[in-house]
Amino acid sequence: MTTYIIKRLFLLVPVLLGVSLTTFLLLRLTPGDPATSILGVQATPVEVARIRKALGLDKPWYVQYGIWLGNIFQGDLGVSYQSKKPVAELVRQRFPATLELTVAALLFSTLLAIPIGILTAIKRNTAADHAFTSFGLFGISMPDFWFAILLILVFSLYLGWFPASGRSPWAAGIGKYFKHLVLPALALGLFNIGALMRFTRSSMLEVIGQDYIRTARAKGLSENRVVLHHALRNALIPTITVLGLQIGYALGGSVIIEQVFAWPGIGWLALTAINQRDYPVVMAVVLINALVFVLSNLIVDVLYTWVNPRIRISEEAA
Amino acid sequence: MSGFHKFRKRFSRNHLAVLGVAIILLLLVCALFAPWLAPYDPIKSNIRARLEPPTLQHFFGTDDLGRDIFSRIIFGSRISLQVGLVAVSIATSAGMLMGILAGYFGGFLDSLLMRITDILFAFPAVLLAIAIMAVLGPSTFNVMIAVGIVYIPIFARITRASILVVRNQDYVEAAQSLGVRSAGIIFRHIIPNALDAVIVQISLAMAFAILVEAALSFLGLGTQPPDPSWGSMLSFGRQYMLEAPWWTLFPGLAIFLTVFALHLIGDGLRDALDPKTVLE
Repeated sequence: MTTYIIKRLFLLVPVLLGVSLTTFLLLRLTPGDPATSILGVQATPVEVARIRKALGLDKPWYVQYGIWLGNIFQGDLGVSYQSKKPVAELVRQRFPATLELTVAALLFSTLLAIPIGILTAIKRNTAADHAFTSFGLFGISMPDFWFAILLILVFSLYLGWFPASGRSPWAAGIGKYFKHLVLPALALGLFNIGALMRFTRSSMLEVIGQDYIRTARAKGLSENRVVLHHALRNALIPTITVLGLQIGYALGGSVIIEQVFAWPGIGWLALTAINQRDYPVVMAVVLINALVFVLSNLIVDVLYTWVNPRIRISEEAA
Repeated sequence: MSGFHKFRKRFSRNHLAVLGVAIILLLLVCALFAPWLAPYDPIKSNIRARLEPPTLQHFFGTDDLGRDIFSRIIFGSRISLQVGLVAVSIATSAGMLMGILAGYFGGFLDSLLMRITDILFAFPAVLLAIAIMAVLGPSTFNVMIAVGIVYIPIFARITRASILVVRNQDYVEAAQSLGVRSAGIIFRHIIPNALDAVIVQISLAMAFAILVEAALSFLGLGTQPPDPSWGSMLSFGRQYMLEAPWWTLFPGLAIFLTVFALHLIGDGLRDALDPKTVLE
């Protein structure tokens, strides 16, 4: 298992290098000049040239990329062109907000989706199954930004139960903190509920049809024991991989949800940075997102190998 | 009974999938005949009728410039369907080509192409689409390219996986030993047998493309005003949520229904093409 993890960690290096190079080239191809963005359209060509030199933008792109890469290996993410603050500091300020939003969305949606998925599989073709299956379809079809607007309209503007925007720190009180978190997490988690519920249901149905489940029933085991002890364990194994993919979806989705709820995370930071041609900030945010995504997928793969004895045995044999 | 007839019979037995097809056909009619179906010009403003609630004159109400929201939604269906079709065509053709080359020829080419898909996969999809839009500039045409690029790796992976299964079948080996050229084997034997998974993915990819176009337009990066994109209508309507909730309600509903219909079709196609269902 250790060899497998080390091998997978090494394979992440070219992927992350590819992500950084692609982002770097995309940014260099983007029309508009960061120097003009900093100085404004009234700036003279001399002033623009001075700023470009100061930012190192006058060097060939591969030299700029080499410098950026060298700095990254020393833990230096650069300095924001706009705020003049170190990018690492901006990320440190903003990343916890995105992390707590993503974790909250994934946590509540997973806790809801898996039991419902199991229930609908066990109660196949009943009214409850049809109702929840329709809800699952609703979840994956609903545009998250529209759902966010509807949540604000109903629960903030009409009922006044939750704030329409912003984030509240822990220090301001736990109640206030959760009140700010509920609506953005709901909006971000809706897709995950639908996707995970549908996947758990189909996975559970597949397992329920297996011979060993029939054997367990024939042995006279109670239905609860058959479902919880035999079917559930096996049905949840493929669900783990879907969870890994959902982390990537939630991170991407947070860009829009953060914008709707004025949630001060790195998604919102990235969007502003792209519009302002703030290259170091965009590079850092994309790289961090990619890193979180590939690492979470790695963890999911390891977990998958660990819980699935067939894969574990073949890995050990190899 | 031919394979296609069996598939059609199984698909038409799924009422939800048929409902999905009906919704998409309705949308297609709206898109094709928009100038005749829309009661008003979708771009022309009428300040005297601004922010009117839904009435018999304006079924879905009007926006801040007095434009008829019903007419704008009808014209907006053109943009959504165009983006869906073109983006998915880009993703399918490029992704399938990558998948076929990787799966059939294997070796270094396979490793290289799969590493490229790994890199594209590592980007959060929306962020990648936003970055590409920043390079290309905001327009409907560029949204199609951006969404198409984002979806290439999924088609590449699906095609490759199907090719790997088909490549080692006896009939392919027989064709190879008879001296049939690679192109002939790929087009005559491999692609037709690897298409099922791609067909299911096409409807899901269209749903995704329509959602991303709406999201990009919502962020101001996609279709530009005054063109009536459902996403940009939502974005502008958001500022009038309390005074004119209909402005955000109907475009959102249009996006939801379209995506919902495409998912119904996707589910129906998956069930109809599933070998297990075929055996039953």
